[in-house]
Amino acid sequence: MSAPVIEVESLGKVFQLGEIHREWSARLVERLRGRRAASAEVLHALADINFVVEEGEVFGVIGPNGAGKSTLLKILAGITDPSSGNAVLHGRIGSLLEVGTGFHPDLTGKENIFLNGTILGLRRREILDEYDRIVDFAGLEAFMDTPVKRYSSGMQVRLAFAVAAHLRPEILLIDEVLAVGDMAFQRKCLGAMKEVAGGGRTVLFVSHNMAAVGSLCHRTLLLRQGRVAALGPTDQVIETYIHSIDDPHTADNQGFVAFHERKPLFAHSPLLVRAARLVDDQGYPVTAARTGESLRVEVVVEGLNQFPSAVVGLTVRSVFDQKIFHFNTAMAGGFGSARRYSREHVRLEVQDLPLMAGAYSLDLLAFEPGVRLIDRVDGALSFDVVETDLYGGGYRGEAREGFIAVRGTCALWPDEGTP
Amino acid sequence: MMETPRTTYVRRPRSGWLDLALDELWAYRDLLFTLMWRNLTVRYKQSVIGIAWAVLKPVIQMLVFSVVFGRLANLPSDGVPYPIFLFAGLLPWTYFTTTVTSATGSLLAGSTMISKVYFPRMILPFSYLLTGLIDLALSMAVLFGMMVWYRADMVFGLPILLFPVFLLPAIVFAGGCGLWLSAMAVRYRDIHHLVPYLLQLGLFVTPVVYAVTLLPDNYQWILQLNPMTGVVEGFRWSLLGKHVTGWGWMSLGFGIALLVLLTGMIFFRRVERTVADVI
Repeated sequence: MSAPVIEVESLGKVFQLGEIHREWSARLVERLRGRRAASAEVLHALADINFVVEEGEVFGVIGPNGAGKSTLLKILAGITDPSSGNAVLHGRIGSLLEVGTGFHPDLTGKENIFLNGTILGLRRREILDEYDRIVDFAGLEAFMDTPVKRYSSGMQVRLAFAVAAHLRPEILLIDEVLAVGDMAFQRKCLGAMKEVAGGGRTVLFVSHNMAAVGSLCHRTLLLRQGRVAALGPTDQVIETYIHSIDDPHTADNQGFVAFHERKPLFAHSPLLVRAARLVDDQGYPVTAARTGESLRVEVVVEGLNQFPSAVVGLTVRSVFDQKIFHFNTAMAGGFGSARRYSREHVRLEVQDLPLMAGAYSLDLLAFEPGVRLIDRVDGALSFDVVETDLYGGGYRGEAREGFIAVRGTCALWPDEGTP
Repeated sequence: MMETPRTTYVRRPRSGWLDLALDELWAYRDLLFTLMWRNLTVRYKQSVIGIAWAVLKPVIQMLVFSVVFGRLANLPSDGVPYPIFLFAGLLPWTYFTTTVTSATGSLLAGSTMISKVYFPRMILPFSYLLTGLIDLALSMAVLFGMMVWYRADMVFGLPILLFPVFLLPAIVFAGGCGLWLSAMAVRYRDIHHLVPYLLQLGLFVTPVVYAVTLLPDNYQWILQLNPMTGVVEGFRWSLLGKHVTGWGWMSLGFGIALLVLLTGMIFFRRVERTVADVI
């Protein structure tokens, strides 16, 4: 029954860096001189990727930003060509790289269903056959003659996913679509994806949402700097990912993300916060934390000793950029009369992290309470929170259900005649 | 549901010149018509007189040109009343210019689609070839009205059935130019500034506002190598019964149009490979 549906063999993609316009004149000069000039700087977005996806499998692709996940998906979808190697796909492909692609704001919902469907490769007749089911799935019967520009973003997502879910593809390529839309609709989408996979069809799912990958995917591929860093059962790969170093472009090999090449907050404000990283209880760099355990952030600051009353703090935000909580050195009791250095490491440890599994980011800031803000780095670190068996009973909580992980009790007794 | 044989897709670095992927273009024909419909509806949404603009624009242009070139400059029209002589040439010319202009910008306008979904990219410029035909069909109604008004006896001769034949080289040439220009415009935005000027110059080397006979006999062939000359002359011959010479040179012009389309398709296919990375 299980036959390879996607076969990827030493796939690679190279991007030319620098100005594109330079190219033709430069190439002309090269040709006239009869030799190639020093080759332009190139970026290996993907290098030597090998994997096979079997029929009916839900296959996850994870990795930090810039690891090549989207490039891989674009090559599989045929949007762009690889530079080397090849990929063979057996079956009709449906790709959902961004919902609502090709939606035109001035057209009505109905017109957009046809536009979107034909872009994805459907015939008009096929769309007509599925039309009622699409509208029903989206739950937008009343808005079919309204221009899409008057839709809320949630409504647009519902319409787009409804079209894609009714493509009946044999291979479905999905990139991070579950980050939008409300809870009920996300459940519907997950259900639709499971159904696709259940029908012997294949899903390739790219996501930052570890909880979704963990619950959906049989096997997962971890990409890092355009290479396969891990491939295997989802749980193991997620474990590897948590203990891997973040973004190669900003993080050094100790996991520090540097912030010194940014604009000052105000005209002459000092750039106090220089770098930061997440560490585990042993002090090793990590890219994720666990629900109910400690979140440890190590911040490198420079010149803080000139502001004796300064406080260093962090603000954790959700994927929707809402502030969830703030924690700072003053809350933790401050440093008292400890000796200060011109360049020092400050570690903030949030205990019993009350966050459900999902993707989060944090801002770092230094301020003198009630006086002024000295320095702030918005979105300094991105990290994932990974679910743990917080409740001991195997219940797995996700950020989609609410960001805060709370604990409590429950009780039960017979009803004795409530009015 | 019927089990259909599995299609296999291979993604690998492409090479070679003559892979035009016409079968794929055919498979996506419904997208072509949907996009044509989109171009049309989007253009006239939230406008009061809507699609009437498609007719109004060439009519106004005809009135202005008739006064300037017909009355003031007194350009020759080979014995046909100037307004109708002009309009019969202006219609295919307007088709050509609007189509080439919108096709040139089609890849950039559709950049979000290009970077997120795969479909044969040629569909984008080609969809404007069809949109232009709808506009043209509407203006043709005005032309037929004028023909009745000016010389009732001339209408509905046999050659009138042949005018669509002369539309074909216009579509071919506009398609070829559209492919070349849209593919180049992805890398060199200069094209967008250049195209309006080129089209303006084109009006002078196409006998739209004047007759070919304005030139000495032994120079007319230069004009007739321009594919649009053949189109304009063909329209006047089939619709107005105007006497036309130089078919040989004009056939060669149609050959040039075909060549532009073929090379345009080859060039476009080359650019298509990396368009999603560049756009």
